[in-house]
Amino acid sequence: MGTLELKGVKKRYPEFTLEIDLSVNEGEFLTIIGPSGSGKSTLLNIIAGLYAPDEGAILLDGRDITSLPPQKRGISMVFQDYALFPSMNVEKNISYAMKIRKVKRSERRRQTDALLSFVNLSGYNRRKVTTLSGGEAQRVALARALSSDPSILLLDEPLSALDASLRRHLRDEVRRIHDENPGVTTIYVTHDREEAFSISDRIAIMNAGHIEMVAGGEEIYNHPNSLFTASFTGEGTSLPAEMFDMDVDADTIFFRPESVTIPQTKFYGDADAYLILEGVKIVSAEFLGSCYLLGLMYEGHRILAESSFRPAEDTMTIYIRKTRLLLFKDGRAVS
Amino acid sequence: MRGRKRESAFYPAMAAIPMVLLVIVFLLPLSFNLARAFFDEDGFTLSNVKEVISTPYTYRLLSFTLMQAALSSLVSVLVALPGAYLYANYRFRLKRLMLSLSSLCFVLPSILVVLGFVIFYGNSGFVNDIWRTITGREEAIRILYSFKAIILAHAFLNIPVALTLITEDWAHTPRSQENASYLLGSSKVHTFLTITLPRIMPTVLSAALLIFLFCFTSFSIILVLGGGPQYTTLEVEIYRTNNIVMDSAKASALSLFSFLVNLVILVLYMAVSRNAASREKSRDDRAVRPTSWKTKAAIALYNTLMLIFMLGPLVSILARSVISTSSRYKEGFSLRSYAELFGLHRSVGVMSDAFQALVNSLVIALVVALLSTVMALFLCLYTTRRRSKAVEVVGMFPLAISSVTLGLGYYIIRAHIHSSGVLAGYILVILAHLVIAMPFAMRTISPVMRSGNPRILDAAYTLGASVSRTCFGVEIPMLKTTLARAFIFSFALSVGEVNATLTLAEGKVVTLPILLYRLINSYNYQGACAIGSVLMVMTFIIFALAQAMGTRRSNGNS
Amino acid sequence: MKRNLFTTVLLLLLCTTVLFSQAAGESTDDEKTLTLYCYDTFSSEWGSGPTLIPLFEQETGIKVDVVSTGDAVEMLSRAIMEGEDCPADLIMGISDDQASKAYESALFEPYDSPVLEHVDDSLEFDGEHRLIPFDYGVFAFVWDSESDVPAPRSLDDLMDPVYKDKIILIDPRTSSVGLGLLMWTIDVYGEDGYLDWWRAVGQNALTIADGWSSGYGLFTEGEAPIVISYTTSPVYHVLWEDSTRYQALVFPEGHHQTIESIGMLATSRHKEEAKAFIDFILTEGQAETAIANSMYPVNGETVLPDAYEWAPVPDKVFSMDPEYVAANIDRWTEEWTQAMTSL
Repeated sequence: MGTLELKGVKKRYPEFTLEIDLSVNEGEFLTIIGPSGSGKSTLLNIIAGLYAPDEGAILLDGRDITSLPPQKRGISMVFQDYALFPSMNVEKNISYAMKIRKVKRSERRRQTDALLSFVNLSGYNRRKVTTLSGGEAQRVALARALSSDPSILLLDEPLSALDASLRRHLRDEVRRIHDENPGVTTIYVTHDREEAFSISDRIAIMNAGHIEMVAGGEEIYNHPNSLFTASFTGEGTSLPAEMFDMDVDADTIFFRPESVTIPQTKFYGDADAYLILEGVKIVSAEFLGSCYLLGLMYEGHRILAESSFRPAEDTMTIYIRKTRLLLFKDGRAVS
Repeated sequence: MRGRKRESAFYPAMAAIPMVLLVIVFLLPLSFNLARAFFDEDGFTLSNVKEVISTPYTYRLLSFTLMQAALSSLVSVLVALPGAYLYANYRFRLKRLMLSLSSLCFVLPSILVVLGFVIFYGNSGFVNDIWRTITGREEAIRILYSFKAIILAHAFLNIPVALTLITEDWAHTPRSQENASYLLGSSKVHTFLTITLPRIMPTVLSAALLIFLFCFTSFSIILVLGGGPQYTTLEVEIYRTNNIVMDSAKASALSLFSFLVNLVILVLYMAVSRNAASREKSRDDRAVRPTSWKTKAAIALYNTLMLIFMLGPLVSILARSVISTSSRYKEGFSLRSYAELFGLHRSVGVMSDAFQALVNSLVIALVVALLSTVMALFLCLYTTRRRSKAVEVVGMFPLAISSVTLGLGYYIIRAHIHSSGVLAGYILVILAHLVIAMPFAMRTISPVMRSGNPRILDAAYTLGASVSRTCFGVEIPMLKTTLARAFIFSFALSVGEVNATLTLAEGKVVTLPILLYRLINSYNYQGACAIGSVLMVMTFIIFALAQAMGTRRSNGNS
Repeated sequence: MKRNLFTTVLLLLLCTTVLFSQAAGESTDDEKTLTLYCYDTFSSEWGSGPTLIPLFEQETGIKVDVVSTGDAVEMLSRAIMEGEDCPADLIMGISDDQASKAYESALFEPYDSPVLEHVDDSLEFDGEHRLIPFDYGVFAFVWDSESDVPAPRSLDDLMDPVYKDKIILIDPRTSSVGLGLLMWTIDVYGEDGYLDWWRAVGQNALTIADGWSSGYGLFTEGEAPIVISYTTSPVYHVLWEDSTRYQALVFPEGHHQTIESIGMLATSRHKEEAKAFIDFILTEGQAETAIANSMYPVNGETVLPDAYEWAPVPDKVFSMDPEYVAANIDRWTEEWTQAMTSL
C-alpha cells in the first residue's frame, strides 16, 4: 500500500519541460527540494491528479492511475495556503471526506476527535477556521488530509508561511505523524534544505523539471552526482580544476567548508593527502555559534571554509583533504 | 490602528470636495423635492405622506415593482452563473470581446433598447421573420408585450452586470480549496455546491441586489414591452402624479416612499458587497486553456447564445439605421441618415448638426469621466482608510433615486440658477452627469481598494513619506487599472445620458442622446437609429479599449 | 505619476477651452433680449426655432434667448418655482389640458392680440387671453394602408375582434397623447361609458405604450397597423418620405382637440417685445410652426403646403374645459388604471 511509480511522466511548459522518472517506496518519507520554478508543485499536482501529464504513466501499487480523477486516487494533499474551507468550522473541515463516504455521525465524531488529538488540537472542534493561527491551521489541514485514510500524503511547502521556530516544531510533528501512521507514504516539498535533511528518508533534488538525484541525505551531501546538487544541498566552493595539476579528468573541483583545515599554529598532516593553497586572504568571517564560516580569496576565487577559531593573520595557507574533494566534468560527477 | 494623528487632515480633506459637490448638486435638490411632500398650500402637513402610506394601491404597486425586480434579478444571475464559471476558469479568445460587448447594453438610453427589442423580437421583427421562413407559418410567436418580455429586456440589460461582477470575483478565487475538496473525494458537483458556491455567494448576492435596484426604477421598458397597465410600477405613479395630475406634493410623497425602499436595498447591497470584498483573493487569474472538447463546446455554445441574445437588438438598431422607409430616396438600404446627420444635407441654423453633438458628447463625457474618477477616488480613499460607512452610503445615494425623481430635482436646481448661458448649461450638465456616474465609479474602485494591502502604505510611511505623498505616489498608482475602468464606465454613462441633459442644458447644449430624442420626436426613426448606432460604436470602442488595457497590464504584471 | 497628472490637467484645460469657445459666441445684450421658455423640439434642428428665431430677430431687431426643457409641464413647474425671479418673458407650449395649472399660478398677463381676429373663436380656450393659441392638433388613429386589416371607421369599430393585437394605444398616465385619447373617449362616451370602450379596445391592444415616441415607433416598425396619433401625422411622411402609406382616419363620433398656447408672463420686463413675438408667431411663424410640429396653424389665413391635404379635417371636434379637466384628472386616471388592470 503506497508504492508510487512515475514512468516517463512529461509535461510541457513554456519555461521548461517536466520529465520525471521516480519510484517512491511504500511508507517512505520523500522530500523534494529545488529552486523556485523547478516544477516541484507541478509534480505534486500531477501525482494528485489535479494536472494531467502530456505523456507517461503514474502507478500506485502497480495500478495505473494516470487517468483517474483526483477524487478516486486515494491521495491526500496539504496545500501551502492550507485551503481550509472558510464556511465550515474545524470539525466540519475534518469530517468533510467522511461525510462523502457516508460515515455515520457517531463514527465521524470519533474519528475527528482522534485526528484532532493526533495533531494536538483536541477541543478545537467548534472553532471557526478563520480564527486559527498559522500553526493551528496547518495542523487542521494535516488532520483533514489524513481523514480520508490516504495511501499517499502530499505536502506542498506546508510550513513556508510560518515563522522559524514554529517551522522547526511542526516539521518534527509532520515526521511524527508520518511515523505514527504507518503505511502512509509521504512526499514533502520544500525549498528549505535543513528541513529536508532533518526529516526525510530520501531526498529528491529537482532542477528545471528534472530530478537530479534521489538518495538519502548523507549520500546527497557527501556524494552529489552533479555540481547543481552539490551547490544546492549545502555550502561549498567550486574551483576550476586547471588551477591545480591533478591527474583527473575533471573541469571543476568542489569541496565543503568543513573539508578545509586551517592550522592554528602548525600543520600536522600528510602533505600529500592535502591540496595546499598558499597566500589565501580572509575577506569575511561569520560567527555561527559552533564555528566560524570564513570567506576567503585565492587567486581571484572565493573559498568558504569552516574554522573553530578566527584567524589572527590576514593571509594564510589552507589545506583541503583530497579525499573530500568532489570532482565534476560538465556538471556531472566523476569518481 | 495606524497613526491617527498623521492621517487626520489629509483623507477628510480629500473627501470634502466630492461631498460638497454631492450636497449642492444632489442632496439639496433632492431634499427640496422630497420636502415638498410635507407642504401644502396651508403649510406643513403630513396628509400627503399619510395618504401614500395608507393607500392599498401604493402597496400593490410596490409589490409588483419588487416582484419584477426580484425576478429579473434572479433570472439575470442564474443565466450569468454558468457564463461566469466558463469565463472565470477558462481562457479563450473571445473573452475580452464578449465582456466589452456586454457592458454596452447597460449604457444605452432605454428608448433605444425598446426600439432594438421591437425590431428584433417584435411580431414583425427579425426573429419572427426567421421563424416564419423556417416553419412556413403565418403566425408570429408572441414574445413581446407580455410579462416575459419585461424579464427578457431586464435580463438583456443586466446579465452583463452579473457576468462581469461574478467572473471578476471568481477568477481571483484561488483554486486550492476546490482542489483540496477533490482530493478528499468530493465530486465536481458536490464541490461546487459545498465549497465554490458559498465562496462566491456574497458577490452573487451583491450583483443580484444591484440589478434589483436598477430594475426597481425601470419605467418605459416595463410599460411598452409589458404591454399595458397591469404591469405598472411605483415610478409610473410618481410620473402620473407629477406630470399629468400635477399634484407635486403627492408626487414628492411617493418619491419619498420609493426612495426609502430603495435606500434599504442600497444599504443591504453595500453590506453584502463589503462582505464580498473582504474575502481572500489571489492576484492571479485562475483561467486556464480549456482542454476537453466538452468544455470547448460549452464555451462555444454559451458564447453563441450570448452573442445572439446581446447583439440581436443592437444589430437591429444598426440595421434599421440603414433602411429607409422613404419612397423619395428609395426604400431599402440607404446611408441617407448618416449623410444627413453629418451635415451634408439639410443642416439648418445656429443649433448643432450631429458633428457638434458628437463633439459635445465627447467633451462632456471626458470631463465627467475625469472628475468622476477623481472624486470617487477621493471618497473611496476616505471611506476605506477611515471606514466611514455613512459617507459611502451618501456617495451611492444617486443609485437609489429613479430618473423621474432625479429629474424633479434637476429642475429645482435649474430654477434657482439664474444664468441661462451656454456655459451654465455645460457646467450643470457636467455636474449632473458627475452625480450619476460617481456611484458607479465608487462601486468599481471601492472593492479593489478595500482588498489592497495596507502594509504597503505602512512601508512608505516608515520610509519617511508623508501621508499625501504616499497617497499620490504609492496608493494611487497601484490602482491604475481600476481607475481606468472607473473612467471608462463614467464616460459611457455620460455619453448615454438623456434625462438630466434635457432639463439642465435648456436646449443650449446638444449631445448625441438629445439628438436621438429629437429625431424620435420628429418621426425620424431611421435617423434615431443612426445616432443610436454612433452611440453604440463609440461606447463599444471605449469598452474594448478598457478591456485591452486591463489585460495587457495584468499580463505584464504576471 | 507626475506625467499622468500633467496629462490630466492638460486634458481638462483643453476641454474647458472647447466649452468656453462655445459659450463665447453669445451676446448678452439685456436691453432687448426676450427670454422664451419652450419645449425641446422647438430648439431642435427639425423644429421651427432655427428658422423662426433668426427671422424674428432680423425683422424686429429683438434678440431671443430660447430656453428649452423637456416638456410643457416641466416648463410650467419651473416657472412657478422661480416665481418673481423667473427670467422668462414668454412660455410657449402649454396645452389647454394643462391650462388650469397655468391659471392657478397667476403667472400670465392677458394680451388681446389684434391677430386673434384671424383665429377661430373655438380655438381661443382662454377667454381672458392669458394663454394665446398658436397651433392645434386633433387626435386621430393612424392606419397603415399596407396592412391586412381594413381601416376602422369609428371608435366603436375598434372594439371589433378583427382588430385583436392590431392597435397600439398610449397610456394616459404617462403621456399627453394618451391623456388626449382618454379625454376623447370621455367626450364621446361620457363618464359612464368611456371605461367600457377602454376595456373592449384594451383587449385588442397589442400594447399600451408609455409615450407617443415608443408607440409611434412600434407602428412604423410594423408591429401593429393602427396607432393613436394626430390627423396631421401623415403630413410628415408625405413631405419627407413621399409616402402616403400611413393614413389618418376621421371618425364620425368626433375627435378630441389639443391646443398649444403661448403666454406672456406678468413679471416680464419686455412686454412690448413679448407681444411682438406673439404676433409674429401668430402670423409669419404659423406655417413653419405647423409643419415642424405636425400640427395645424390657428391662423385661418395661413397657407399650408399641399402635403396637408393628407391631413383629413374632421367634422366634429371636442374640447374640454381646463378647470373641469384639472378637477377630475386624478379620478379619471385612477379609474382607468383600475379598469385596465383587471382586464
